[in-house]
Amino acid sequence: MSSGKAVTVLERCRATLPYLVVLAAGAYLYYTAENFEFEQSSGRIGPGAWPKLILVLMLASALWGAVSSALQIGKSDAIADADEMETLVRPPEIYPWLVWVAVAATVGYLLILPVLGFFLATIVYAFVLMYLGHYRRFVPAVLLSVAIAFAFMFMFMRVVYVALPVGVAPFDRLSYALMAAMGVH
Amino acid sequence: MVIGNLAHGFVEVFQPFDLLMLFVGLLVGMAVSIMPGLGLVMGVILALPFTYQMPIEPAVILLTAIYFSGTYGGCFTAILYRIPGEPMDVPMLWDGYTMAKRGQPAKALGWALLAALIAGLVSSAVMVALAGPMSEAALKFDSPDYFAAVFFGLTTVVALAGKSLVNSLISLCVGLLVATIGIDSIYGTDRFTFGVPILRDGVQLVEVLVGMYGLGEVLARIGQGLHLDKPKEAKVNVATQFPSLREFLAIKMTLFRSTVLGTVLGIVPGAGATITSFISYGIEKQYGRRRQLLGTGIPEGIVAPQIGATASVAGHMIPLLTLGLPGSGATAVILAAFLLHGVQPGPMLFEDSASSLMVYTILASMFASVIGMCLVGFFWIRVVVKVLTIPQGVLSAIVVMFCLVGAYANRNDMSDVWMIVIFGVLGYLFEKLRFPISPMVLGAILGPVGETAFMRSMISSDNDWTVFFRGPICGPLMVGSILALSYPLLRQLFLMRRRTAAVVISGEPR
Repeated sequence: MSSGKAVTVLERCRATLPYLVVLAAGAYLYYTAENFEFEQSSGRIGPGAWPKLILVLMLASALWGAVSSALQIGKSDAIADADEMETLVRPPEIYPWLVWVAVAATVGYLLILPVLGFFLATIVYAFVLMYLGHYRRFVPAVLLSVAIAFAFMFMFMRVVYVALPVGVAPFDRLSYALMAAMGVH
Repeated sequence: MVIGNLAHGFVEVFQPFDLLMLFVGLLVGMAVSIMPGLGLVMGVILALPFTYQMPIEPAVILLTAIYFSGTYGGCFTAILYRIPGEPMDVPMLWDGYTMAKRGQPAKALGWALLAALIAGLVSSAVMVALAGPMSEAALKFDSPDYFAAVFFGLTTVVALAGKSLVNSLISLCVGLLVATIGIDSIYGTDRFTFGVPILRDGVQLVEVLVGMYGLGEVLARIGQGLHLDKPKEAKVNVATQFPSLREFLAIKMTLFRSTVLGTVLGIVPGAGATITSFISYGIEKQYGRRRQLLGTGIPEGIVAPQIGATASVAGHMIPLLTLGLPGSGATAVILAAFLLHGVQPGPMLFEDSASSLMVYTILASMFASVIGMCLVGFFWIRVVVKVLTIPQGVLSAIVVMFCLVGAYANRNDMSDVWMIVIFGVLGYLFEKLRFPISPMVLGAILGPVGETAFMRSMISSDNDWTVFFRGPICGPLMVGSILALSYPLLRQLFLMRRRTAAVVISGEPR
């Protein structure tokens, strides 16, 4: 019985936390908006008026959200029904850690992109994304990664005329060779 | 006059490149709406980078075609495999899938096609007729009226966006705040830039849209394990069978009711295809002649949600073209396409002949999209349904690449890609914590328009806030906004009272 109660308290804290984060961020941004530097002209509202109006609404909403989550107000039957229906189109999250691995992989991709160039960096990144997406057949995944990198390079450099990163030496040689093969100058 | 302009528009639509973009858009819209986790908004976002180098007409035709066919394609997987490609297809499961299971999948598909055709053509015709008067009315708007129109749009989006009014309001505020980042246009003051140079230019619309809707959605899907039930191959060969005239006439009231409802609700900002689909089904359940049989596989249960979803598209396009106000995620992306081409949608588009021809070309493409999507659905759906066989891991890699490279292509700037990652993570957290995304995105888009109208009104009225309530246009709009905001609260109170009453009745001694 007591463990069930402890879980409820933990759940309430977890539900309240996002609102507390919004409250803290909102308060800091309000303070920032109060101190915008501008030349005051008589009778006119300043550049902080509009953001402060929004922040007041956000702080009031977050306060209401924090209080209602802490006290568990307003969970109706209609919401419970809607939750059931939602599982049809939105399955529950089962691998939350995979999301953060994907985010880390994306950050890593953006860091290596200027070094390796678009083609090589994209092969590595596409392979990692497929692996995270439970596509674990090694050889087809490698071939598909190469195909994706090549197709995007062709589509965006040859068709849409975008200058994708070519990388630094010696990796840039491969990029230039591919560009020459595609007819991109 | 309207007919003549529309005829010129049709001539433009049938130019080879415009027609090609229409066809590509229809196929893309079908494909993304069939695949769970993608959806029509993702479709228009993925197509956006390809429009940078195009003239404005084919660009908007491509995106509009994706939007239209995106409301229709999902019915195939919902009816045949019980896989809702999008939330709007959920009502289709109850009657469409049941009818298919009873051995009439071809008939179920026929009803869905007919519903999409009627809804698309009728709502497009109604909206084209209203476009002229609406743009003339919009020309009379002054700053308080414009602010009230934006405020009304944002409040209805908040009221209809999610189950929690508080979360919707916070989401909206985040979007409005994102729009204030950068140098203020009136005073030239740095706002919320924190000394970061790239923030001085403000946040690009593409970054918000692609990050929140594109990358954020893929991250959420990765967390869900990219689950998808594979369809049984046997059903892929099902054809479409049209209902007979007698069957058609038997549900004429459903057709009429749902078409009117979908078209009218489409004009309301925030009432996207999902909401209109559910409301149409709900109204049918409440007032339909055979309401007790809904859910057992009757045509009314297929026709009502399909009409509601497709009819809402034309309803959303007209406020975008006449007022410059998007009411849904997809129209927000279409607005971004306009702005990236240096065109501000609004009443002025109807004023000179060149831009008026562009508008009527887009309007004509709506009719062509409806007919085209029905033809594609009838003849080619077996090919399009094959996208379900692409492994989800491979598909997510392709989508992420489109998001990142698409954002980079906007300005050839890596900082845009970093912003995508930031908004992608924010989008994922919004999904995870049940904060609706659409108020945030529409807040980011409409924020600058709202702020400019607000500041002008306040400066011209010597800071008198009652200016927003005094005018014949802004007054009713502001009252409507307050009513829209009260609606979720009143609904909550009503449900709580009903639940209390039910508990009291069930607790009474017999």
